Amino acid sequence: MSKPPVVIAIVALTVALGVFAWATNATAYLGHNPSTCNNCHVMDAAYENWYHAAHQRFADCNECHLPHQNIVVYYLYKGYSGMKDVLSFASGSYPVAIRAEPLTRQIVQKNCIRCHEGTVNNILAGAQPFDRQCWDCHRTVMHGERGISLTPYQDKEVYTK
Amino acid sequence: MKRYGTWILVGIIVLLAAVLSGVLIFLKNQPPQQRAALPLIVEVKPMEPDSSIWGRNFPNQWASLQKTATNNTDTIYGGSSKWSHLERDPRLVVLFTGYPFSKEYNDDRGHMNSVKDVNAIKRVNATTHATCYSCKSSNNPALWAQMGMEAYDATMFSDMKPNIQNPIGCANCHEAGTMRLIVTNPALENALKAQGKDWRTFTRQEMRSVVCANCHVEYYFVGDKKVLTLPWKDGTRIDQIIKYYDDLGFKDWEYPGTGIQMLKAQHPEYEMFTAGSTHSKAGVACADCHMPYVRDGAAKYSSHEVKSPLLDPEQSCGQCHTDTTYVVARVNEIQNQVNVTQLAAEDALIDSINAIKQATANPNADATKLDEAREMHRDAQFMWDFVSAENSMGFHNPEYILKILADATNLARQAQMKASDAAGDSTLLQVGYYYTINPPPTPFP
Repeated sequence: MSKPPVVIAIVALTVALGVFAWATNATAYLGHNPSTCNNCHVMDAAYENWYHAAHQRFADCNECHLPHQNIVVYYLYKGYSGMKDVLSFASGSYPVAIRAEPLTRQIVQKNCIRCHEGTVNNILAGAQPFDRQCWDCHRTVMHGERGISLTPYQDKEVYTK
Repeated sequence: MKRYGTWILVGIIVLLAAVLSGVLIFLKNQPPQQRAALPLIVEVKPMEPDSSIWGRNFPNQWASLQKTATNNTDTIYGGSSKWSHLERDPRLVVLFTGYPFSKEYNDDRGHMNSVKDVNAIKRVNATTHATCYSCKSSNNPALWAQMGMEAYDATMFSDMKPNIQNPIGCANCHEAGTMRLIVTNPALENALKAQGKDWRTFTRQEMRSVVCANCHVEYYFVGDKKVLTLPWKDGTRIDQIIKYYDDLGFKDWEYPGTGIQMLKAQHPEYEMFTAGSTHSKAGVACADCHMPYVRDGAAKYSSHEVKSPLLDPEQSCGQCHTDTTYVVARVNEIQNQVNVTQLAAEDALIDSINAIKQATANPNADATKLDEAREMHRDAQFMWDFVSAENSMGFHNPEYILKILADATNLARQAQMKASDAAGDSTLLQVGYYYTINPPPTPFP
C-alpha cells in the first residue's frame, strides 16, 4: 500500500470532521453556557425556570448536574450524559415529564453539599441517617415552583449572550 | 488490482467526506428553526401600538399588564395612587417656585394610566411640546419610525394628541415576532451610543433593566425643537451629570427673585440602581423585583403588573430572600432614614433660597460671591432632586443616595453662608425659614 491514498483519506476525514465541528458548533458542548443545554427545546421549561430562580446568578447547569471531583470524571460524565440526551432526543424516547435519574440525583446532591457544606455540616455529621435529598424539602430553589414556562425567549437567535 | 482497491476505497472515503461536508454546510446555511413552543394566534405587525392584539398571543402577560390600570395600592412612600407630592410635603412648593412642578406634582400610577394622567396634568399648557408624550404611549415607536424623533419632538403636544391613543404597552419594550426586549426610545439609543455602547450586544439580563431606561431615566430637552436627550455622555453618576449640565450651561428655569439657574431632575431610577447598588452588583435586574416570575395554574410567566415589590414581597423578594418579613422591615428602615435625611436637605435648600433672595435684593452685595452662592445652590438642589424625583425613597441604592443627600445639604448650607457673606448680613444665616412662612405654602392653581 502506497502512502498518497492514505494521506488523501486522512485529509478528507479531517476536513469532514472540521466541517462537522464548525457546522454543529460542537465546541460549545465542551463549555458551560446554559443556552447550549437549551439547544434542545425540551429543556425550555428547565432553562426558563432556572433563569428566574435564585441560583441563576451563581450556578449554571453544569455546576449542579455534572460531577466535579476531577476533570476526567467531569468530561467523561459530560460526554456520557450529552450523548444519552442526543440519543433520546433523536429517537424521541424522552419522557413527557423529565425527571432526574438516580445517578444524576447523587451528583446533584453532592453538588448541593459542595457549595453549602458550611451550612449542612452539622446535619451530615449528625446522629440521624442522612438519607434524604436536599430538594425533598427545598423544592423550589433550583427551578422555581413547578410549572411550564410560557415564553421561551432564550433563543440564541434572539439574545446572543 | 490491489492497488486499484486502495484507490477505490480512498475514493469512497473522499466522496463520503465531501457529501457529509456538503450536507453540513447546507444545513448550517438553513434559516434557524423557529421555536414552536408557542403557537401564535395572530401575527403582530412591527411596532403594533394596540397591546390587546399582542395580548391574544400572550394572554397572561396582557392580563397582568391590564391590572396596572386599577391597581392603586400605596406603600409608605410610593405606590400606585395619584397622591399629591405638594400636599404631602409643601416644601416642594417653595423649592419649585416659578416652575410648573409647583402647580401639580402627583405620584405616578400604573403603566396603563400613562396617557390619561399626562393629558390631565396641569403642568401641560399651550407651549408644551409632544416630547412630553415620549414616555407615555405605545404609539410612539411607530410614530418615531415614521416621522423621526426630532420632528416628533418639534410637534406641539396638542397637535400630537390625536395620535396618542394607547398607554405604555408591549411595543415600548418588545420587538414583534421575536418578542425580544429592545430599546425603542431613540433618546436612549443615542445616549448609549454617546457612551460607546450598543444595546444589541447586551445580555438578556442587562436588557431586563435597560428597557426600563427607555423612560425611567434623567433627561432634558435640547433646543427649540425640544429634542429629548439623556445627559449621559460623561457617564450616569450624579457628579458626571452635573458636570455635563454645567459644561452645557443648561437651565430648566430661573428661580424668581434669586437669579439661580435651576435644574430639575426626573426619575433617574436606572442611573441610581446601576451606580453600584448591591442588587445591581449581584446581577439583579429591574424586572426581577418589579415583574417577578409568577405562576397561574401550571403556566409561569413574568408578571407585567409592574409595581412596588413591597406590595408582594413573597413573590418579589422571596425568590432570593427567605425571610421576607425581615426584608420588608429592613426596606422600611432604609426608607425612613432616607426620608428624614431628604427633608433635612429640603430645609437647608429653602434656607439657602431665602438667603440668596435677600442677598439679591441687597444692592451692596458682592456680585462674585453671590454668583458662587447661586451656582452652589443650583448643584445642591439638583442633587437633592435626583434623590427626591427617584421613585424608591432611597432603596435602589441606599449608601449612594444618602451620600448625595449629605452632599446636597452640605452644599446648600455653604450656599447660604456664601450669600450671607456676599451681603455682609449675618441675619441671612437664619435656620428653619420654612417653618416661619406664613401662611404656609400651598400649591397654586
